[in-house]
Amino acid sequence: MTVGSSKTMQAWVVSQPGPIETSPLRYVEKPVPVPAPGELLVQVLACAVCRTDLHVSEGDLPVHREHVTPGHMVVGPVAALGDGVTDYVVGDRVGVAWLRYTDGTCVYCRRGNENLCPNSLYTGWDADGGYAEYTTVPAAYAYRLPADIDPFPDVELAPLLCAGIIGYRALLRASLPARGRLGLYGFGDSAHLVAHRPRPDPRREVPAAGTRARRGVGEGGV
Amino acid sequence: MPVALRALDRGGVLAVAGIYLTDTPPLNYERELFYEKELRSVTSNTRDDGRQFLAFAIDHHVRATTHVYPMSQAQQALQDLKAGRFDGAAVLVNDRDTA
Repeated sequence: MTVGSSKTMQAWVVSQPGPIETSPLRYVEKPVPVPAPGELLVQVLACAVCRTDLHVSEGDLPVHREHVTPGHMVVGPVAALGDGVTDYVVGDRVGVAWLRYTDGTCVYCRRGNENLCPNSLYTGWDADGGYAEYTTVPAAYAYRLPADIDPFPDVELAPLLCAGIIGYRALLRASLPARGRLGLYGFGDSAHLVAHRPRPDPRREVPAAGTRARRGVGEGGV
Repeated sequence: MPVALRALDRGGVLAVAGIYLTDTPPLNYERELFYEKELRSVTSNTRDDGRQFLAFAIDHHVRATTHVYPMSQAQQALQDLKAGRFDGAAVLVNDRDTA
């Protein structure tokens, strides 16, 4: 592996899920993960914070992995390759997002709805995520990102990987028609990014929340 | 949710992008669902959703308002998120020299 001289790293873990005001996370020293076959080891340069991380930390979502490291909006370079990875090389800039496994064989996967796969796994819930110096991701679930930091700095790309993608899916689910009106409720990072999305089509208006809207998108995390 | 449903036009759709919500209050059928209003949840995403959105975002330079925290302040970032102390997105960064 090409991970420098250090074999350990700093990482946050959910020590005991509870109210975030009680500091349920601990910052610990732990081994740099080793990528499994088919996985990438990614150096975390930026990891955006999602309300889902809060739900994982507070125990609103059931524990899927004891002492999990949260975080699923990671930007960074590939630091090492697991066996069998051929479509990435060390140094490629990638994004790590929420969805990290689907079985590919269930009725939902076969009809193009892998998001509904009953065997799906998620970064920062089922597997350790990006509140750390390194994380891993199956290569098939990584997103290739532009190599140029200018004009695409890490901190600006990171929020796109969940807030942006989920906002986009919510917009699709709202089936906004031509000349339709879109209302946004709960103006967090996802709605914030969706507000950008419809602008290229001048037929679509984005009124302030609360006006009569043909379609609405509400937000509450992933 | 009832407020958003009431604001919908006839035939309108409310898409809710949340993995965890508190219970929804009772809905008034006539005011909040009748006239073929639809309530839809959003569950994760497909990889195609991700690729399509990222391609669009990069082409059109979609960017969030960001609030940068050092990785060592992740817990504070989550506390600030819960308390609503910022708009936009919090982003944790590692120092390139120490990672």
